[in-house]
Amino acid sequence: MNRFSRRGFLGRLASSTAALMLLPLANAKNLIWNSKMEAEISLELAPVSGGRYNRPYIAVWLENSAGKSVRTLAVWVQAGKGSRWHQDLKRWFLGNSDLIQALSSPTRMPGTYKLTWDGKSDKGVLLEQGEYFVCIEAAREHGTYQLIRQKFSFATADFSKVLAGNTEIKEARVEFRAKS
Amino acid sequence: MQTIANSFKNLFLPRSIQHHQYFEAVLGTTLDLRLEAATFSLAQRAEEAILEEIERLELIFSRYLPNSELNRFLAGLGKPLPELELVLQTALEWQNKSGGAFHLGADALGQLWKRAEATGVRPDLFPILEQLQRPWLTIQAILDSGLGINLNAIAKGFIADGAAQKALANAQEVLVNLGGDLVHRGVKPIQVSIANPYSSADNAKPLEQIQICNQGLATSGKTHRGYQFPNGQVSHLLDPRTGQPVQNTLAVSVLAPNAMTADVLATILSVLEPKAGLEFANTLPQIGCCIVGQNQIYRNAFWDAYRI
Repeated sequence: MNRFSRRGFLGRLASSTAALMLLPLANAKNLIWNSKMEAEISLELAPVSGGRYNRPYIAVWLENSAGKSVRTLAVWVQAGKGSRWHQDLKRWFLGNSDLIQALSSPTRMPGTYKLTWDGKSDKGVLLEQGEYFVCIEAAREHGTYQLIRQKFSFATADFSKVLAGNTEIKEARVEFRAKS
Repeated sequence: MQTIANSFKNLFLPRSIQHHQYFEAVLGTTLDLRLEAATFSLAQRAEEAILEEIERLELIFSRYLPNSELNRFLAGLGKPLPELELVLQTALEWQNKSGGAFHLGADALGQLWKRAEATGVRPDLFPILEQLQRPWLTIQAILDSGLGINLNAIAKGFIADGAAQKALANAQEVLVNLGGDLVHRGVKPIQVSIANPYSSADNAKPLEQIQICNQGLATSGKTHRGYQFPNGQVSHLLDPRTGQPVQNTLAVSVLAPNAMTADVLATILSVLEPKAGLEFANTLPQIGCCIVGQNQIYRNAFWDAYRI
């Protein structure tokens, strides 16, 4: 998050030194994301009760193996009074402009969401193949804070894995496959 | 000095607050509310009025609730109350105006497809089609047909309209979005994205954006639902004239003076051939449409005027 933190700087210094030392090896290893592949992250909310319930604040993003955020897929938050508390949350400052956009769509199913990742960074650049953390954050005001964070290898092999849920997210799934 | 005087004046202008709520599991879908009111407590009152009105209308129009007004009417337990009668009459008018492209009895076809989905064998539609092709002119004709109907393609819009209306006592700007069918009431134009018809991902880039004001907007398409068959998914939208799933259109969005009209027209224009749909829309006042065909996107001039 904080691009200029000391830890981040030292980390980058260390990793760039390492990269320089391992340059021949790294070049052979670090392949660019295969643009024919995509990842899909789907999640199902845990209903609060039998009836109507508020959608929690939700953010979904990817971090590289060093833990640096590289791509935000969704930030869903209700704007308006009470939104100050959201500022404590990790993703809020990324300023995803579509978070308050109204959407007209075919009738959607409640509580289920699906996000795709094309291997690009927030700047639209294809990243390297390799290990990334899938992060799913869910929180409620005066409620719980939940984070699912799990590392997967996005390289050449397809996979489909279920992530254990929590009080807000009943279940999540990560699928890596050829683009449909 | 002018500016200073103005900013001083602004201090005393009525301030308003924006209130945004997103609910899951309302009428089997989501409910997105955006309100602007003078104070937070007025916004909350407007929100409560919306939720209460939706609950009240659900008891009238639901097919899931056994004691709903609609189910009681279909069971022959009495005349429909005014709101149900109004929606049934409006539905019959659209049914006849559209030449059967919208049909109250289309649900019976849907039931056949649903059963067929379980067995994997495509259904025999003939007996139902024969009944649908008879003219339905009065509400009594609905009962005489013996077919179960549902008002899914029109009641959701009616409920959104009714709920938004109730909020206006306490809020100046109201947006009620019931799972993608929405209505705006107020004077401040609001931007709305149209869902990407080629992807069901929630972070897919929208097809386009329009700016609406005091209007209804509905979108129909196959993104979120469909019947599953071994050789692929079939659109949940059926052509009541043939019983077959809709092939011509991927998605249709309609802009209208209210959500009910937008809702029913989105269904009609999904069933008609895109060019016929465009012509039909142009015979109606204040109707904008965006029809995503297999190879082309069709929009009328009214729609284009609101596009961003």
